[in-house]
Amino acid sequence: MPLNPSILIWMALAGAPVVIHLLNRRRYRVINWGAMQFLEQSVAKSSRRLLIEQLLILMLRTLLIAFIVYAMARPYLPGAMPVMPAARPKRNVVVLLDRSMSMRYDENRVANLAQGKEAVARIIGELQKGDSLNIVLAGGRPQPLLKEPVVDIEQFMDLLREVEPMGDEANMTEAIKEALAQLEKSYNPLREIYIITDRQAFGWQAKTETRWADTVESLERGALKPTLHVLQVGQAEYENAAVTGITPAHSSVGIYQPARFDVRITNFGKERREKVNVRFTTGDSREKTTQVDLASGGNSVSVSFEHQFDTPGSQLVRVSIDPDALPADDEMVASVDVYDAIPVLLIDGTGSSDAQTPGALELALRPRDSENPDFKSLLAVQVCRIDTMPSLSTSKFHLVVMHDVARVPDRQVAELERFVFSGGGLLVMPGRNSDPASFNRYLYRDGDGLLPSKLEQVPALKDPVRALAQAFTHPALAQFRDPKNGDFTLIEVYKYFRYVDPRDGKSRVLAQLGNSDPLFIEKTFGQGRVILSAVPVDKGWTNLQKRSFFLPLMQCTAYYLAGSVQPPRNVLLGSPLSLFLPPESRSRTVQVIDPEENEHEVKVAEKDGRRVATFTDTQKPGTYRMLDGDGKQTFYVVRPPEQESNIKPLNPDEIAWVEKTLGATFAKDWDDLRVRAFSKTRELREFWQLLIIAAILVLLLETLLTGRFAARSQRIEAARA
Amino acid sequence: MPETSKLSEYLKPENLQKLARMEIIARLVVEGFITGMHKSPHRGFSVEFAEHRQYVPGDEIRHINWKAFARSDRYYIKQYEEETNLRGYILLDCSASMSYQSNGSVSKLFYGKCLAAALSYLMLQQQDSAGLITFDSAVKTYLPPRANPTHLKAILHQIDEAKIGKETSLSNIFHDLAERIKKRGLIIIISDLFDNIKDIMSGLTHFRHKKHEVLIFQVLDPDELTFPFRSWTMFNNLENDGHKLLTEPQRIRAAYLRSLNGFVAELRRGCGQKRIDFEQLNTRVPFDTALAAYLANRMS
Repeated sequence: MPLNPSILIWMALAGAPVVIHLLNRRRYRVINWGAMQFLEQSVAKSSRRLLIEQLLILMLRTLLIAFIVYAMARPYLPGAMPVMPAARPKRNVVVLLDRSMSMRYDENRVANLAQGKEAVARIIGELQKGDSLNIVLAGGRPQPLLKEPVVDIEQFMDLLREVEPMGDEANMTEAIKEALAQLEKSYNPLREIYIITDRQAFGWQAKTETRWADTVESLERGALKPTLHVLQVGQAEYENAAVTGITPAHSSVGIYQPARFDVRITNFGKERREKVNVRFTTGDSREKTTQVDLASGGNSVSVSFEHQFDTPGSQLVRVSIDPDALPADDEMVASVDVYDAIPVLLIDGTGSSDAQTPGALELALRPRDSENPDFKSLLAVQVCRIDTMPSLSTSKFHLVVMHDVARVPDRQVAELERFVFSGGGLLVMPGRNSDPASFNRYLYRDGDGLLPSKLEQVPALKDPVRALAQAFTHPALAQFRDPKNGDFTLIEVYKYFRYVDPRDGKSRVLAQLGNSDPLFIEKTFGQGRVILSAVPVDKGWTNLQKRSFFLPLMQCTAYYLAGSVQPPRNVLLGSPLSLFLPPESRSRTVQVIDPEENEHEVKVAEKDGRRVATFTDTQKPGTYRMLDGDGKQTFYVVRPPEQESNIKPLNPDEIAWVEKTLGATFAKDWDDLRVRAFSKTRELREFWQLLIIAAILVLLLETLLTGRFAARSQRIEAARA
Repeated sequence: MPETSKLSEYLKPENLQKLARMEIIARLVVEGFITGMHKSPHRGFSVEFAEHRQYVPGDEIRHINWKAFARSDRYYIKQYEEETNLRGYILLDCSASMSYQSNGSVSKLFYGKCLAAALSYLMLQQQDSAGLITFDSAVKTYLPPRANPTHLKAILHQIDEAKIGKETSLSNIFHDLAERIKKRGLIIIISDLFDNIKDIMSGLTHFRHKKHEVLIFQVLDPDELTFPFRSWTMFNNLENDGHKLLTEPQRIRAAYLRSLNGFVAELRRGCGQKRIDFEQLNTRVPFDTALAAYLANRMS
């Protein structure tokens, strides 16, 4: 395979003389001719000679093109050639330096990255004049230090000093692809890739054939398959514990209310760690500390911290553990939106004659504390009837609850769909007044509408059905996994709407009745979520409202549904950050301040009827701030994937797989690499010059022969004249 | 001599093609030719006066020399050596190969027709007798030679009527005619002579054996002489439908010319040996050459 194989596609041109010859044969003129006897004699006499002449000329022309194209593809032969002067083949080197988060690890006070830089410097030291070099930084999106390889390798020493570790994974598949792309940019024949890494298994994703397929294909497609050397820096064994999660118990957090945060700590090391301090801080409070014992081998421990926020707005919650050799993951920050009120619209279809039941639901959403007149519910509930429903928008309401509504007129259906699509929450509790046909027609719409399922009313049951106690995982119900917080088996249902899980990927059953019919079923619609309840708050249908956990169940569900009003504030590296601006805001741009305090400006755009500012350059982990025109600040936290904290290196099996799949060799240490890569030089000679000379000779021969064949005709003509 | 040059321009074959009537063509050709010679052919060899003899009853009164009667008061009859001393047989080849016509020239048949017309006219003008035979694979028309000037009309009519026929078979025709033509005469062959050379020579020898003088006008198209084609060409045989040959002409040009020239040279040599006059004409050459060749033959 030559060095520039893509050129070989032009080899098809070599067939051009034959094609032209055949085309000419096809495009003949026709002459009615009398002197056939002489023509036949001539053809008979000269056909063999003509054929040989034609073949000879065609062969020469084909050969001429083939030689030129092949020369342009820069072929080579391994080893020296006697006719070509021996010269040291030039290296085309790309060094892949892993700067993923794990490279910050510094058990011996020399961080892995610093060791990596030193290894790169040694490789540079081995290169000679004329060798080309580029360095690709692996970590997140791979990034070459220079746009293309250069032969002036000294400049890399300064650039190397400024390389900082990233917070992201190494992503070796992409990094090697980038290295191959860099190799293509240099014409030096000896292609070599040096990978300097801590060999963290997560960054390699060895044995995942699908992930490597692309890279392996690029590697095989390359002209001269490069040699890959892997050099490990750092040690083979790592000890590391990390904060791997902060999750608020509710999606919406309110002021003056105890908000619980579940914190997960994971020990990826091999040694058990005891009495590890876990500290919890927020912007407006003192530090809270607890101690945990961490089992080894990737086991996690969850601890909960409770905190009451005094001020509404975007807040940061910070959890840290005692620092270890990799301090980057010993602290985790989370951004939380703290509300002073969550506006809820309760559309109640229950007749005014029965004043008790609507009161029960309203009370559940907006409880009152008779002993504390200052108590203010987080959910600010506004009650109305369907025909007096105000216009909906996520800036006015975070959640709409439809209880026992008879039917929803067209205009309101469209309004509701728009509201949920743009992130609003909807809780639907059909009841005795509800017309299933109308619901199915306008709200279910054969699966295209808001409802997750069709309504089918079940006649009153002889024996009540109880709800099932389940290991709830859904955030709205997670609290009731522990029966102490609320035993679902105490819920009795006398009459209900039967729902069928359409299993269309959009719906999910949250809780079930004893007969396996869903009690709550959820659907995602656009940015928002809809939960459909099989029963209303009606004593003729269920005893739910009499249960002690009725209030927390309603509150949790409401917080959960209201939580989708705002875009996520805690995202993975590379994910975009979005800020919804209120309609009354006049800001045209939003200022973004990244973790390194660099300022960026983002334009506000109209999207789905909302004003949105989106920032996409989130390659650095840390806290970002977005400031709208009114000076309101919103925090965002960009995190690396939690597996990056697991510095477990490739095991021998995985190393063997990488060696086999990529044809790479893993060096034991620098000396081993030096012997393998630099002590013996691969012999390789290009011979395109010979091909050009051959092409010139063929051209001369072709000209000569064409002239000779033509001259023969002229001579005879002249003789005749 | 502007008039002459105009006339000679007019006498070019391609210009004559525009004239419809053979008679006019023939006359123009001959008169133009004679004008060019500046010499009347009638003086040298036309009516060969021999002697006067006494009128005897039975002689035609129109032959009495009234001037001599005025002088001598006796009836004398003008005596000629022979009323006509030449029997000319014009053999015109109408085979399919004669239809070839390159750009800017006339077809070989048309050229041959003009030539035949001109020769007939010339012969009859000279009191010679002229006959016409047209043929392809067989004899198509046979007009025996007559010296009567009105015979010209018949000849020209036949020339006009002559159409392109099938393939040639010269040898058979020549043998056949050699047997049919009893009286010794001048055989003028107008043909491209595309046939087997041995057969042709055998036919010609037969004519010579019968004591005929033979004059051959080989009419060829310039394309046939130079083979100027370049790009790939399919040659369809004019004399044999379905016989085709696809070739790159420039590559076989040399061989073709060699083959043609060899054929002509052999023909020339054979004719020379048999004392046959051979003249090669190409369809762009004015008729002077042909007529001059005829007259040279006639005078020898």
